[in-house]
Amino acid sequence: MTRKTALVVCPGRGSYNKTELGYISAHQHNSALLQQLDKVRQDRGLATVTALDQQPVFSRAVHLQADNAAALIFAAGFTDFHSIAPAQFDIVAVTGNSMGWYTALGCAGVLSADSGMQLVSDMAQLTANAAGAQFIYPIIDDNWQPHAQRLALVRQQLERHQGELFMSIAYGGYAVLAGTEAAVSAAMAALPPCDERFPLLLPGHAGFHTRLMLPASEQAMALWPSHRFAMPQLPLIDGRGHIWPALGADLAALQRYTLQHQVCQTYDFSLALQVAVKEFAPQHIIILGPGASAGGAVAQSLIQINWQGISSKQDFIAAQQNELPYVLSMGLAEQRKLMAVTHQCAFTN
Amino acid sequence: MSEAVHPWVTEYQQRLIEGRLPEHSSRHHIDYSTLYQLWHSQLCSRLLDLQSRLLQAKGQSFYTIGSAGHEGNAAVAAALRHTDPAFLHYRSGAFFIERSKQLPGSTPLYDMLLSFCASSDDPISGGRHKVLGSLALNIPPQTSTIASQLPKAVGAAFAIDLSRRLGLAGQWPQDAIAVCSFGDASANHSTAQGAINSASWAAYQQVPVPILFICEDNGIGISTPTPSGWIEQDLADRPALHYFAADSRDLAQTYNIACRAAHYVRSKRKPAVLHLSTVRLFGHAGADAEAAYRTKAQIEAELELDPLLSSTAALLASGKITAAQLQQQLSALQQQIARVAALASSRPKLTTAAQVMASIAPQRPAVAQPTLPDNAVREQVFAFDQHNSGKKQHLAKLLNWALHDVLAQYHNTVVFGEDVGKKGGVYGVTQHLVHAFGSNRVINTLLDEQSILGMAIGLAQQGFIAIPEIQFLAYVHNAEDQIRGEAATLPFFSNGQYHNAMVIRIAGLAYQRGFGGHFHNDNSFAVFRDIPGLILLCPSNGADAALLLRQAVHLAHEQKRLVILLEPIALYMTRDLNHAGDGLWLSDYPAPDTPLPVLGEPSCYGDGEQLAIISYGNGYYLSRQAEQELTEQGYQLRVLDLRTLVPLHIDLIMAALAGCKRILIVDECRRRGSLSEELFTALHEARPGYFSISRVCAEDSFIPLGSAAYAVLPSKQQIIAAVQQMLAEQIRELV
Repeated sequence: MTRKTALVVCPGRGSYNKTELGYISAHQHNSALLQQLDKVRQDRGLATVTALDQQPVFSRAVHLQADNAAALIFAAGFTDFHSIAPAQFDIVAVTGNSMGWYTALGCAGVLSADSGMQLVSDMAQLTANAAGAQFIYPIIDDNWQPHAQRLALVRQQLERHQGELFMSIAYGGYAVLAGTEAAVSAAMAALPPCDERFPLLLPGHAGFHTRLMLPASEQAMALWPSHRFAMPQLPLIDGRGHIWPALGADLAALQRYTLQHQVCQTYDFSLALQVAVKEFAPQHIIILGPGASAGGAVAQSLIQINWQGISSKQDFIAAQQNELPYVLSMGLAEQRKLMAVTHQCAFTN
Repeated sequence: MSEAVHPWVTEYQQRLIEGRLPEHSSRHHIDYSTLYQLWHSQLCSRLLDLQSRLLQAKGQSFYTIGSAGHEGNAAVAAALRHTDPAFLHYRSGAFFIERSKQLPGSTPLYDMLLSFCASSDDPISGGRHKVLGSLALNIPPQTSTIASQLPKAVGAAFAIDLSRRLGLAGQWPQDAIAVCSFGDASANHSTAQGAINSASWAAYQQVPVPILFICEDNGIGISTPTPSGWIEQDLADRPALHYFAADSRDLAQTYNIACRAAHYVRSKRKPAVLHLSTVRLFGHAGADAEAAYRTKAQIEAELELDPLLSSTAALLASGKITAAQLQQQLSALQQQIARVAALASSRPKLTTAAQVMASIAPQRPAVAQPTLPDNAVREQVFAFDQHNSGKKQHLAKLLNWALHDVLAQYHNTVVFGEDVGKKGGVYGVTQHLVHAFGSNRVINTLLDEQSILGMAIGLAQQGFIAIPEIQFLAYVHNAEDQIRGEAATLPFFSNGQYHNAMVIRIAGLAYQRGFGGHFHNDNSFAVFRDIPGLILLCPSNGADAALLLRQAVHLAHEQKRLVILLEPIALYMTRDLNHAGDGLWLSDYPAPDTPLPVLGEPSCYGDGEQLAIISYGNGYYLSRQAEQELTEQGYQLRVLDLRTLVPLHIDLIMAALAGCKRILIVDECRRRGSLSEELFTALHEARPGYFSISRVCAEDSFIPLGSAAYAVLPSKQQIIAAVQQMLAEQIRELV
C-alpha cells in the first residue's frame, strides 16, 4: 500500500471533556509511552494521566483544572501521534492550536515525552492563576460562511475595549477573545446570543495569548532555556503561519517564539492550517485526540481559502465521503481505525 | 509519488552519497541555522525551476527562465528587511523564498507554482504572467527585465527619503532602502547605465538615494560572454557609488558582505553596488540550446560551480548535519514541491478577455479629495501674481495657477523635471512653484527622461502623486518604455495591487512660430495610443488646461491612473483667436471648486447641424478660426474639442454629434498613424454608413524649420476648403 502524506494537527485546551473520559486508557492501556508520561506526573507529585483518565466520573473541578487538563490533552495528542501507523502515513508537517503547539513540539521531536509533559505542566501552572478570561464567539453562519455582522460586532468590541480585549485565537469560524475579566464580561454582555451557547466563557481559562500572560512568559523563559529545545525532526507551522524547518531551526528563536510570542500574542490557527495545506499539500489532515472538535475549525479554515473547491459546510461533508476521508480524526473511533496501529503504541523511544 | 525526477536531483543525491562536493574554504562566519535556512531557500528555488520544466513538458507551465546558478542571492535577501522594496530580475527565486521567511504566513512554494502555471489564483499577477512579486513582501512584480526596473528603483530610493523630509507616511518605512538586481549583460543597457548614473549624480551632490544595486554576474548574456573583469571595471569607480563584491557560491561571504553593503546604504543613505559572482546553469531558459554555443566541457565545468554544491559542503563542514540527513531533506522537499505543483496546476486559469483585462485599470472606490486650500493659503500661494488676479490669462499662466492650487491641495504631489525649479520649466509653466512649495516638492532633475520617468514611478509607488515635466514630446520617445513597459503594466501584472499614479506633463505638438524644427515640434503621440490603461488629455485653451490638470490629478489620486497631459506648446502663450488683440483665446481661471469635466466628454462650440468638426489642440484652435469665417458665410457648424485623446469615449462623442451627419476630422498629427484613423473607424463602427467623414491631417513628414513647417501642417484655409467642399457635395446630393 502506498503511504499517504499527512499533516498532523494537535488540539488545544478545551478538547478533553466528559465524552473524552477514558479515551487515553482505551487506546494506550499499559503502553510504555503512557507509563513514561505518568512517571513525569508522579515525580512532580501530580495525579497521573492514567489515574485522571480512568476516573469513573468526569469532574470539572478535577479534569478542567489547568495542569490536569493540559496533561490529559498533551498525553492524548502525543500518544495518538505515536499511534499513527507509519507504514500507512508519511507525516510531512505538524501544527497545533494554542496549547496544541506544545504537543506539536513534542510530535516534531523538539520536546521529548518527559520535557513535553514538564513544559505543559509548567505552563499550565504559570498561567493557572493568571489574570483575565477567555470566551468564544462564532463569526460564521450555519453553512460556515462568513457572517459579516457577527464579525463586525466582534471588531467593534475589540475596538471598544482596546488594550483590554484581544483576539486570542483565530479558530476557523470562531473568534476566541481574551482580556481582562471586566472587558470579557462587557464584551460578552454586548454580543448578541446565538446558537444557544454563544458567547461562551471558557471555564478555567485566563487571558491566554494576550499581554496578560507576560509574567508567565517571563517565568517560562527563565525555566526553559533554549538548550531544553531539540532540533525538530519534522517541519512545524506555528500560530503565525511561520514554518520551522526540520533539522535546521534556530532553537533560540524557537524558544522565544514558544514562550513569548506564542504565549502573549494572537494564535492564528486558521492561518497556520492554511499555510500548512498550501506549502505541504498533504493528502490528508490527521487531527489528534482528545476529541474531534478541532475538525470544525480545520474545515472552516479550509473553506476560508476555498481549498480544493471546498467552499461550504456541504462541500466539506461531501469531500469527506470517501473511504479514507481528507480530514481524519483520531478521536472518532471509526476514523481512528483507518490510521492507527491497534492497541499498539508505535513509540519506541 | 510517481512524478518524474529531474536528472539534477539524481546527480545531487549521488554526489551526497559519494561525497563529491567542492572543498569548503570560506573564511567568513555564519551560524548554522542561517546557513541551513539559506540552503533550504536555494534548494526550494532550484527544485521549483526543475519542476517548472517538468510542468512545461506536460503543457502546464509556460515560461521556464529560472534562477539556477544564481541561488546565492538568498544570502542577499537575508541581509535585507522585507520592508525594503526590491525590484528583482527574473533569476531571483531564492531571494524571493528567503525573503518570504521573514514574513510569517507566507506561502512561497504554492504562490510561485500558481504563477508558473498561470493560475488565476496566483496572488500576485492573478494568472497573467510568471512573475516574482508580492505586495506583502514589498517586491513589485517584474517580467523579463532588461534592467528596465532600475530607474524606478532609483526613484523609489529617492522617494523613501523624500517622505521623511516632507513628513509624509509612505508605502515603505523611512529607514528602508531600495534594492534592485540585474545581470551582467543587462548592466550594459542604457537604462541600467542611466539609472546608476542618476543615483551617482544625486549622491555626488549629497542628495539621499539609499539604493543597493545588485549585479549578478554570471559571465554570459544568453550566448555572448561578458569580457572578463568588465563589470568590476565598469562599476567599481563610479562617483559616490560604493562598490562591494562577493562570490555568491560562498554563502557566508555573501551574507556578511551583503550585510555590510545594506548597512552602508541604510546608515549613509547613499547608493552602493554589490557585484555578485554567479554562474548560469541549464542555459538561458528552457528553450535555450546551450550546446549550440558552448562546448560540452564548458557546460560540465560550470556544473561543478553549482552554488548548491558549495552550500552543501558548507553545511556538512559545520558538523551539525549529515549527508544522509541532507539526502532525506532533499527527497522530502522534492516530493513536497511535486505535490504542491500537482495542486497548483489544477487551479483555474483566466478564460475571458474581461478577466484578463480587469486589472489594467481597475475601478477603485471613490475617496475623499484633500480639502481645497482656504483663502489665506491661496493668497499666500498666489501673492507673486496678485496683479493678474481676476484677469483673463493664456494657457501657460492658467496651467501655472492650477499647479499652484494642486500643490496646495494635495500635499503628496511633487513636480520635477529638467529646469522646473527657478527657471520655471521649459515654457515657464512651473514658474514660482519652487518659491511657494520648496525644493523638496519642485525638483530640478538631471537631463535624462528615463530617469525622470523612473523617478515618477518610484515616487508614485511610495505614495506620491508624481507630476514630471517632459520638455518636448520628441524627448519622451527615448524613454517610452518606462511608461509602456513599466508604469502601465504595473497594475496589470500585480492584479491591481500595485499602482503608480502620476500625471506626466509633456510640452508638445507643432505650430511654434519661427522656432524649432522637428524635435521641438513633434506632432506624433502615437506611442501612447495603444498603451492599455493610459489616459491622455490635451487642452486647447487655458480654462480647459486648468480643469484637465485637476481632472488628471483627481484620476491619479482616486483611481491611481497613469495620466498624460499633452500641452500644445504653440498655444501656451496664445491670446487671440481671429485678430490681433481680440483676446478671444484668453480664459478666466476656473475657481478651484468648479466641477470637473466628465472624462472623455468633448467640449462643443456651436450647435449647427450642417457639419461637425472634431479636433483637439492646435487643430481645434484653427478650426475655431475657420468656423468664424464659415459662420459668417452662412454655414451652420459645431466644433468639438476632444480633450481626452486616449482612450476615445466614442459614446460621448456620438452624443455630442447628435443631429450631424457630416464630420470633418482635423488632426494636426500625421495622416498615417494619427488619432484621425481611430476616430474615423470608431464613428463608422458606431453607426455604419451613417456619417460622411473627411479628414484634414498633417502630411506624413517630419517638421522642418521656419515657415516650411506650415507646408506639412493643417491650416485654417484647408479646413475652410474641406468644409466648403463637403457641404457643396451635400447640396449637389440634395439637387
